[in-house]
Amino acid sequence: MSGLRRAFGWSLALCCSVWLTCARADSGLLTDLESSHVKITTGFTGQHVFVFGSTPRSGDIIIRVTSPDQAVALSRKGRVGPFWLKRGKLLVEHVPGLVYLLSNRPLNQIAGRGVLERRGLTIHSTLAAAQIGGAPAAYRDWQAAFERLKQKQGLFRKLEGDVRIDGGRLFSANFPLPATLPVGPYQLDVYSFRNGELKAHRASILQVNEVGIERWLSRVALQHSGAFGVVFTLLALALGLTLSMLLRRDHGRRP
Amino acid sequence: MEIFLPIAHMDVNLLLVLVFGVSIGGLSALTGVGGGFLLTPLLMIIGVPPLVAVGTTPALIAGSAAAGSYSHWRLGNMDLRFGLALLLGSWSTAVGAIYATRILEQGGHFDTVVVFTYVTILGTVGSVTFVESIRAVFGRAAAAGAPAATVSTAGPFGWLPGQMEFKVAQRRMSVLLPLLLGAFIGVLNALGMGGGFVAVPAMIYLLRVPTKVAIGTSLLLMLATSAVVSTMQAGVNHSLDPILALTLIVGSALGAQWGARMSSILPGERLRLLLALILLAVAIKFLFGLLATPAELYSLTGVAP
Repeated sequence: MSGLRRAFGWSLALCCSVWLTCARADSGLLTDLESSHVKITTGFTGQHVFVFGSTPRSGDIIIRVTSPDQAVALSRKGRVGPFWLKRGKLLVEHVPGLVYLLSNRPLNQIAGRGVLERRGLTIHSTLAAAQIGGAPAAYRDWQAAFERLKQKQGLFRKLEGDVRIDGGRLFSANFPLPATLPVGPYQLDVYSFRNGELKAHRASILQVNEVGIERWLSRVALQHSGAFGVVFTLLALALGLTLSMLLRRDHGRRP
Repeated sequence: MEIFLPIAHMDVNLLLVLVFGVSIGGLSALTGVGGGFLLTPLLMIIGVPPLVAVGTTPALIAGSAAAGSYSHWRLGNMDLRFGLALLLGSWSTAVGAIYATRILEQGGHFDTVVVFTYVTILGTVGSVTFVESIRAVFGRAAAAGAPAATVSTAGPFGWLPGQMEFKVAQRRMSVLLPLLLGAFIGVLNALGMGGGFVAVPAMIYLLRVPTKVAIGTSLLLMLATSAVVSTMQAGVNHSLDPILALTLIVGSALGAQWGARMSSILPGERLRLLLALILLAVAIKFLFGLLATPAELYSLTGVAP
């Protein structure tokens, strides 16, 4: 927690200086990320991302975080005799794997619904391009179920009130990304609103990647899957045999 | 302590996975059957995708069977000719089943097939073992125990073609019998169930192979079938998670030592009763999942990139 506070204080100081030096040259919105990389390591359990910045005049801030598109399969259970079975599976494509909307107060108090939807600032409107394969009969049910499940998995989230505004112009947000997050370049958009009107927009990129052994393993396992299968199975056999011999020697051989 | 699984793409508690490995290793040393049938459902319960659970279990079975088969081979408990016949059966169906897995997964029917297979196989084997061990614990029904010596060597399947002599197994029978049994085990193995818990009783009670030879030969069957299945699950379905598999193998090796020492203290019939209860519990859990009205009709799963 103290680390967080330190990061916060540090970034506030930085914001102030950046703002003071840049204020005259550019009267727009300034944003930055504490770190522009989320590194997935062996001990990865998710990570907090710290965004901060300043606005020229006091107002509201909305931050949207979108991951690259990630296709998922959506299935529905149905009754077959006495059993509940999965009946049919549809592919949902052209949809971001993760969408977060952060704001300093409830979105509907910041701007009207029409304005928010036009800018893709509601969860529903960020999914405009989504396609559920096969266009099932009760399409809306499938669509609603998809949004509901994504929210349950913590991949679509609305964090209203998580953007902190200090002194009217400095803002910051510290949001948690889950361990099951999709990888790739994330788009981070900061929107500044005043009296329900959009005043400025800034975009930045947040890279989410596997690093070290995680990166190596997933690359080898997916790109050289045949060789990986043979080598890993031999390793499993050797490890099983070696461990049993070593451990048996420790406890003495049973008659 | 959490660890990130690169293929399952999720974080799990390292200690929990180690405990799973220790329990499976302990159980297989105690009861003589591997624990694939238990491991795959346990992994699914903690949120590992079914495809990855099914794809990773064979690597553990191969690793632990390697340890077991080595000692049984040295003791001369392996009928290689019988084993080869079993393997020809299991390899051919396992390869087919792995490709079938891919097609079923794409159509969304994989979970259904896995659940139905688990309910049927675990329920059947669990009930048979339960009845047999209850008789052994409470009754004097000696007939249920050792195979009767009075049965003719050819047995009830004497009319089948391809009669062969299996020296170590001390049996003469049609080569079709081990081929068919192997074929059945191959399917189970490709579904992440190992198959030792079916192979050992089938060899003892149906094919009348001596218990020690049945266990030794079954270990050879598990080793060679799981090795092929594990290689192919990684190669064809990209569903073998290396970190998950290694953790499980280490845990299982530790558990096997502990189980081996415990097995000399606990009587065999009670162990079989325990095994039967575990099998039935897993079967009932899956059956309940099929019958109960689900709270959420829809579900989301990842799609391989």
